[in-house]
Amino acid sequence: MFKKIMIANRGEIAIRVIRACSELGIKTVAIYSEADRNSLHVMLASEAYYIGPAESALSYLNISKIIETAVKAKVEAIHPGYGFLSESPDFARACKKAGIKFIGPHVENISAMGDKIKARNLMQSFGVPVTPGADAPLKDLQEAITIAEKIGYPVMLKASAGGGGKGIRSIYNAQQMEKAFKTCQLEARNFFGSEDVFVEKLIQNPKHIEIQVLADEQGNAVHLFERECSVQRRHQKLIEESPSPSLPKKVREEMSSLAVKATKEMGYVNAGTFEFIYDSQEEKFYFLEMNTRLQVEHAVTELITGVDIVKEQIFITAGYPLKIQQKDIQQKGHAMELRICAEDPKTFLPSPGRIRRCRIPQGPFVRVDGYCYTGYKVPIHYDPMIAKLICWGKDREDCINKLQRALAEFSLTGIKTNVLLHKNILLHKHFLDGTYTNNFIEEEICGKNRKEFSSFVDDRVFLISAAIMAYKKHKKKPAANSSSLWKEKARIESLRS
Amino acid sequence: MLFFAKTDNKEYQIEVRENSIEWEVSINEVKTNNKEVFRLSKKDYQQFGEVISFLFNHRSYLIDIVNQGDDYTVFTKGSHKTIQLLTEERMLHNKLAGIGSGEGDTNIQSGMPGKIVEIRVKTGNSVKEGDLLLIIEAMKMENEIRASSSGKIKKIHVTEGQNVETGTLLLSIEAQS
Repeated sequence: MFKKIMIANRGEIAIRVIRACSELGIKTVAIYSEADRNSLHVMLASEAYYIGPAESALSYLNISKIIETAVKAKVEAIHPGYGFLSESPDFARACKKAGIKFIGPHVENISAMGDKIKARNLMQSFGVPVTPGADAPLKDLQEAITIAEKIGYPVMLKASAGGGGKGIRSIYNAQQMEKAFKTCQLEARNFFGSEDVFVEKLIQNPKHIEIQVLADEQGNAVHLFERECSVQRRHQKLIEESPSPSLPKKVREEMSSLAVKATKEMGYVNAGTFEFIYDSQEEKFYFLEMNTRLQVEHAVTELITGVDIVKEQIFITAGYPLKIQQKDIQQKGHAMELRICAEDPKTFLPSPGRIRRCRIPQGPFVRVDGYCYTGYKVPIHYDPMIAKLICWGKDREDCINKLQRALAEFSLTGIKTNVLLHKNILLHKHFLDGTYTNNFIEEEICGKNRKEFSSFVDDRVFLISAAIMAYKKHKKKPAANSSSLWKEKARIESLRS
Repeated sequence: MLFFAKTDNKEYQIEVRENSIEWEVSINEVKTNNKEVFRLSKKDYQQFGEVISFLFNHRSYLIDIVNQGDDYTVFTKGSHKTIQLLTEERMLHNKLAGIGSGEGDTNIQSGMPGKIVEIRVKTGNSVKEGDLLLIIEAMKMENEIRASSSGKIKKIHVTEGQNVETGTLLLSIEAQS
């Protein structure tokens, strides 16, 4: 087994990996940018190395600097977390060249799935259904319009090298396509370094369902059931749960066995996730993309299966065969994750800044993976997610009750967070009955069916508290400027002498 | 002490008095003229350092308040609300200074700290309400700033690549007749 592992990431996921290593008796090496000197992962790792300025391109995405540091720190393996370099074939290649193990799939796996068009074509060859659309990058706007008209609007315009919800747009007509095409190309170039975009049919009332898989070097592969992640905004997930409240047993089995089959046929190794768009009315599913890394929402699966996915990743990379077999893996109870982000709960505008007070929920069946603490300044340079609140319950209702209880205990002040948004979602009828789709947030929370949020606080509490504070501030002021202070001081002095 | 308070499009006149054992806060909603007076024992509203412990109608609130100028953002129980509180003096001063400036001008401010990645308009351009003006990047997301009213771009106060803070003036739109 490895003696020392570097985590080429920051925030909660760096801490998650540090925890797994520390339980396995493996030393950890953290890297940090200028903006992260006081970040929690730096404090929890066995060693920490500065790697560059705040800007990701010069620090967490700087392959040569990271490899140089890894060599200096004498690590045997690097865990890339999610985001940053986790799906970069160049990084995986650079690790290999430096004689360091990359904790993740083979370079070929990453490359094959990183190109969304090639991935679509490959999945189709394994018998996995895909949505109708282009099987090559679009040459120009005219071609985009022609193909969109052929498969019929609405369509999705996507960055071929995309992922994590970036560089995707829903297009309902040719005018929108004209407006969006350039922006989408620009975003694709900025975020992923390639201008290639393609279109595919947009499924109406879609649900996002994904299958977690694990595969070893020996050719064994298992699935760890599904996660439903349909509560999302602009393709950024907000809530994930397992089991899905709307997936029939038959579809779950078909989806997961196809995922295992594809994993084996493409020679995939390590943890991976098959993302599907699920049409719950037709009970049909379509391959969306495969994520060749650990996911943000992996904790949900850990709670219902009892499998520590990060430790499995480490064992697989060290060359051990999987100890677990498919028949041993059970979906027990219900788990759900809420992503807590530093953003305004109503406008979704980012809210970085200093955390004045931080109290994290505790108690039975509550797990919080986060990196905030009182006094920590959330930087503007990185993702707004600061914590994940995950609960386990014996069934979905029990799980939601626990989340509501835990959310009420969450106290984070100084920056705005989306805690209030989650509290309101957990009371919404379409969330409670499980019929929610990917359009839930846009329609029910922000859009045409939106209702005023319940703030859970008597409005007068806000007004009275603010007014007393203002009173105290203004009462102090005149005294400080008045000459009577001098007189007072002189009087005291004269009494002393 | 009398304050003029504004929050979520509601306006109030709030009067605060104190004696050695009590706070007296009267809240008068301007539009409805609905007035409520609260007498709160100082034991029920205690401040330790930055933390305020408030027992209101037998419910316990741990409160934190961030004050920036006339704005007070109150955080409690996972919620927050920003309230603007002006003293009589400030109210008068603002009236005399004619805040709201050049009649009909709309000033667009940044709602977050971030970096200006792209400016889509030029001085003198005509814009319609909802038109894209510029893009600010913060926390990995590109946020589109759109015109809140129609008119002509009078002045652009920022440049591409510039870092801005919450409240930084971005551009001014002049209403067109």
